[in-house]
Amino acid sequence: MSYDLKLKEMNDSKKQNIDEVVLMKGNEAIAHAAVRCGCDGYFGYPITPQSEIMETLMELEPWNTTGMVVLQVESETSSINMVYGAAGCGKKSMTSSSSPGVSLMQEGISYIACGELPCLIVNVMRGGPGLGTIQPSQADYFQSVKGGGHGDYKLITLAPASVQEMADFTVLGFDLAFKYNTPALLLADGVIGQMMEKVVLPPFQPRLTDEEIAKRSPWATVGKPATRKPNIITTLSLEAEEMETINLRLQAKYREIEKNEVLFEEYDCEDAEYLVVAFGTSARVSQKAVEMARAEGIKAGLLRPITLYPFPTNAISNYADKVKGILTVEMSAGQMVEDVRLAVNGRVPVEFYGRLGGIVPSPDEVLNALKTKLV
Amino acid sequence: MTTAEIINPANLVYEKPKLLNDTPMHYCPGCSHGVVHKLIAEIIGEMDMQEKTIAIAPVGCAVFAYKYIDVDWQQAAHGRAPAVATAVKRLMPDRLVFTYQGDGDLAAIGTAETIHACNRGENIAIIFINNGIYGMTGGQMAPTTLDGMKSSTCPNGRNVELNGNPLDITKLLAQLDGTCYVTRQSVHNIANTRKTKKAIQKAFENSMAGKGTSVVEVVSTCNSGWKMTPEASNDWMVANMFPKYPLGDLKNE
Amino acid sequence: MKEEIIIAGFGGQGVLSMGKILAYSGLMQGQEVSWMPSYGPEQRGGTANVTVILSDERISSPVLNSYDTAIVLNQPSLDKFESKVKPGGTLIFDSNGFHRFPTRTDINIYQIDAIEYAYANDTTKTFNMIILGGLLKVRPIVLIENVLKGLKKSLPERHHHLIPMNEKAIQTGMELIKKLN
Repeated sequence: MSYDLKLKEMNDSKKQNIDEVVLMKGNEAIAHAAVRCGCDGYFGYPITPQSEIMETLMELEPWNTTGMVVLQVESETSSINMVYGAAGCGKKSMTSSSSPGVSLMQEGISYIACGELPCLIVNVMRGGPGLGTIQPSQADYFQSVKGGGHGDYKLITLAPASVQEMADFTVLGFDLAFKYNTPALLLADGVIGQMMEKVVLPPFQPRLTDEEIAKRSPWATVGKPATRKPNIITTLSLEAEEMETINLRLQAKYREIEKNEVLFEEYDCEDAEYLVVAFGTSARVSQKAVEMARAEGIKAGLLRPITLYPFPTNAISNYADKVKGILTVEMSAGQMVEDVRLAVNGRVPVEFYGRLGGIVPSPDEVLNALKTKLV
Repeated sequence: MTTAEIINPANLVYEKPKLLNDTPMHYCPGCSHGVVHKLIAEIIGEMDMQEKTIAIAPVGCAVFAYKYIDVDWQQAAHGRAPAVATAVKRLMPDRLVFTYQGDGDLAAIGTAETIHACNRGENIAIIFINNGIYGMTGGQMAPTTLDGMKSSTCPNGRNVELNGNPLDITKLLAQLDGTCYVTRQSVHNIANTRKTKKAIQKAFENSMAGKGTSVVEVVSTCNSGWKMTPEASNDWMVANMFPKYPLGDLKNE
Repeated sequence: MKEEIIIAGFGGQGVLSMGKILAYSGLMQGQEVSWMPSYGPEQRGGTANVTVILSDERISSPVLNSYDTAIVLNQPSLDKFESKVKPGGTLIFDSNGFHRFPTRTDINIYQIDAIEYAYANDTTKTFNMIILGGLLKVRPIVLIENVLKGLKKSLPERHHHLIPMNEKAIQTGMELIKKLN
């Protein structure tokens, strides 16, 4: 099923069975979805505004039901390296944090990407730089999609815009990670983490058995039987030629991901003369601004990238031939706007509106920016 | 006598452990790493644990440990081996999980991971090679470098006022409630090598028995980094390293 | 139907949980709902507020700049949100501790002295349900039966015996609220 159809079905409340609908925070939805999709291990360190993820897991006590391990550890540095260790054993493992903590994880993420290990990392962004604020932000876009750690690697980056998507993308993130043996990032912000909405949680899937893991991930370090050579998870190669070969393999994989996994959503775009591009919370705010613009007779539409890597470059490029101008809205000084401009390549004006440091733009501000900068 | 007559099981006086493969080691002649590798390969073989072992290699000279001992390995980021081992053991409690780390890895950049893994009492074994120097990067000062000892980043000798004191991290780890066995050994002669083998075996047994974290420090030489012959290195270690890092059990519960 | 509400007061007054009960009531009524709290230090004793949206349609922005209804339970909240009520909208306040009252004439202003009542009748635990009752009297956006269903769904079973007490508080609120203009 395409993502659009799935989304429509989920948002069609008439089809929902009220007993299955629950009201919870985005952070709580991630925890429930992780347990339900057969996650083997969570390792984390508390930080606002995402601590409810670990708190919910500790309340759920999944070690008594599915056998999932949940561990609060000494730092984000340790938690990401625990994810490395668990993923190296073929286990479905994850960590979560917020911006300053995710900065600490960048070393480990680079190793995980090079080691071609599947895992899920959650970043519920807050305002930076530095210790910043605890309020919502989207200023970790560059860190997420351009490679926050060292070396040429990419992170599959999913940007949820609702509590339902926090649950759905936890499952989808793991699926994509294991499809390509690469880390996936769920990039949310404080609004999506803290807000409560209706959600239908994913169905329970059992954790994989040792035999199933050995079949799915034959490279995993689980103990060497006499029948095979040792499995070794390493990211080191002192020979440059060998390291280039590894890099080329990674790049080939990224091209496949770019070909197959782009997700985005369009809203009121069919006859749009002005296109707003925004993700996550900014997309929710922008959707309201588009509604207000339409009420005033301005033909505006919204394109919401769901995967930030791979970026919906072609979709945006197609609109460059149809619209008079594009406004990118972000809770940052303007990061994704660079990718929008690359896609548009100068064919129409691409303007930017953003708020910084933890401020969420209001629908009025976005509408005003649309009118003053483009219309 | 023909070759066939010489190479005869009856004449066998020494056999390489089965788990030690034929890859030529990159260690310098005289280095302690090779001896400790051999002990580990022997013990895993004798315990018949090859199919159950997941070993964690560090960053440092022993980064390539995975090339020499035929078990499954993960190579951790610098200092993070105890965190990696924690996850592996937690998710697969019936496996033998150990880290193999040098002094820079364990006692400098990985201090937090080491202390917290030991404090949680993770059921892992930590094999700690302490030669008082960064070997892999070319002989720089380590946290364990002795007062007055020369290295490429303290060419006039470690100056405590400038560089701080040599860190006896093993003593520190023995204080933690999560450790069950903390010992300091060496492999500079046959008697001590035998003792080290017993210590590592005990550490592995503790790990499987779920007793907590075991730490086996092996006070070692780095004749290249120390710029001495292997023999002189051993003598220097006995005269200078042992007074600061005395051999024996620090904790055995 | 769409109702955009802000509830604001001191941390500990039950502002967030009142919003949650309202959201659950909307859920039981088959509506789309969102509940967006101010989070962080506010939760720990300062001022707290929560934006609740109930709608028949998919909700776009959970963060708003104007509201159909504002419920303000302390002076700083009145000062902050009075101007953000849409013309023709509703403002409900509890005057306890207020030194300045609402002044707008283009909105409907209601007073509900629930704090005073709750202290006098030893029902401070259900204070926020008195306020909710007042809201539902003047803005009947959810049916009382759906509020009770919502309570049943959101409360752990061991607390279900408290539901009748909450229902009584809602009735009290409906009686206490009075229009000022």
